[in-house]
Amino acid sequence: MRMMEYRTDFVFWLVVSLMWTGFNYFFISLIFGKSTNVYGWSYDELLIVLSLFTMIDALTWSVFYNNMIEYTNAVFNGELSKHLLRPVNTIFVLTTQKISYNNVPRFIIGLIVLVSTAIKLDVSVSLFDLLLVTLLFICGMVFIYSGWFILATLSLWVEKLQNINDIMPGFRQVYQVPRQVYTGITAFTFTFIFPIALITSLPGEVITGKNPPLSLILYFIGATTGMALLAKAFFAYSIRKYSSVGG
Amino acid sequence: MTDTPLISVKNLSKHFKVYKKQPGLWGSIKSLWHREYETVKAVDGISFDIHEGEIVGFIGMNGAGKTTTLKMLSGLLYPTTGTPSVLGYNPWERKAAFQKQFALVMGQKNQLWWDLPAIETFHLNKAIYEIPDEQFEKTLNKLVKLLDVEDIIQIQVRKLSLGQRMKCELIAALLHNPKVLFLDEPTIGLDVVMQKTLRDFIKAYNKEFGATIILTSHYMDDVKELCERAIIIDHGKKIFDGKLQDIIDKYARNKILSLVFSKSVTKKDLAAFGTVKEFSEDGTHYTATLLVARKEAATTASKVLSKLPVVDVTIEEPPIEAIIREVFSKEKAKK
Repeated sequence: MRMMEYRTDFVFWLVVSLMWTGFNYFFISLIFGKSTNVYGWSYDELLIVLSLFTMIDALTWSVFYNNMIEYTNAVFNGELSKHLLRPVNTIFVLTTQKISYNNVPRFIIGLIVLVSTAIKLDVSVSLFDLLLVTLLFICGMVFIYSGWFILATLSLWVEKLQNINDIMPGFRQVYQVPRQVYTGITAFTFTFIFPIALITSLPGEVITGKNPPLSLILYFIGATTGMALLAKAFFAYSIRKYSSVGG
Repeated sequence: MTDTPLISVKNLSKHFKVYKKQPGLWGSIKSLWHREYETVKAVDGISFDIHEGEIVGFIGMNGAGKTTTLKMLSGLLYPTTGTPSVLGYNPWERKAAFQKQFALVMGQKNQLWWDLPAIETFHLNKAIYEIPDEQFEKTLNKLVKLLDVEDIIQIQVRKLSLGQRMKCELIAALLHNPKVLFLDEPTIGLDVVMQKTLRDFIKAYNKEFGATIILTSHYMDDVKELCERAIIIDHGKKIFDGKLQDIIDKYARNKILSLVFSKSVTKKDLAAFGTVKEFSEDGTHYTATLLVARKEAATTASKVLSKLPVVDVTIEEPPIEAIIREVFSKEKAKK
């Protein structure tokens, strides 16, 4: 609502977010200019992953980015106090205080490309698959959110941590491509230690019929749950360090 | 008023570890590998009880620990020692049932959405505090009328004056009819008319809702007009807790004798009765102010009346600000 008060700013960010999307699809078409297959993924299959990434990324920028910036700023300038005083879940408030709608068109573009490519590939997705993709998509969002929230919560421990919100977006490139791209220690790290490579890869594999291992799906769901619980516990502990401002 | 205190504080402390930076560029470079820290005792083992319906004034210099105490009572800060109880709750647990029964208003902070009209924040608070429609409408109408803000609640908050914003802040904080109200410098920066308006409003709110109020203010008029009881805090420690009148009785050594004479008198004549604080004569008006021993004020006034050409005399208590300064200087001398 606050954003709509400043129409020019809204339109500007709308254009920027659409440009990001355009570039992403453009670069993938460049890669496939000389190749028909990348790590076992065809151009259309990779479009599925990229569309999932676009949708997740659109939601990340719409919901998480602004709120994490607000959260860390609120810690430094004492604004966090007003959220802590209210009879609602503080984490929920911190997550939803500023939602930007300028990335909504990106989400819609991602969804349209995803559906049209799936139709083009003539994939048969059962109701179970659809539910599984939805669940994995939500898990991906929760995983990014939890990881980002833990990093942002570190701001309660130090006097100033301005760039903490640049860390999580830095990992976006990891889940922009399928997990098969990674090998060796990198694959192990992004699949098991910090499984962000699974965020778009797993639902992409379900949609394209690549049948990802059930154990990996369960592992990702478990890791996401663990990450969410860790974020909650870390906040509950770290908030004791909050010193507000003045007084 | 019941015997069980609504707010109970026992041995409450809050210590902060602060980094002491050495000045200059070299100090900044050195701080990269070595930092000196100091423990600041913002609140240092204070205890008090407050009963339902009381308005208590927290008095203290800047950095005395007033706001830190309020923040601990609101559940914003985790106490270093002690567990306060407010409405039977441990504030730090920040239970929703507790948060729905109190409000903290900070004169230097705002909870209103800056870019939207205040009415939007009121509606947000309605949802957050789960205020029933009927109660919301009734309370909002009453508060809007009491504070005379019918015309401004639809205007973007950033376009309001400080006084108008403060009125809207109070409405936002009181929509859920809190039983306990913490007011931290609610009149700071406001003109005298607006200060008076807010004081009258706070008094009316206390009377109508039986709310228990803790107030901190640098303006002694706020404390004098609103609070029967005052707690004085200095360097995190409580140094006085009692009726405002008791502070005056305990710490005010003198009374002020304001005199108007029909003809010229000398300073020397006046000095025989007390300390001459002010002396003025311009050929037509002869006035003086004397500080006289408190217990002998009436006798001294009578002596002055009989020996000097007095046409008018008033005996006043010294300003509360002066008395508080006296309290702090005595405490400083003790250390």
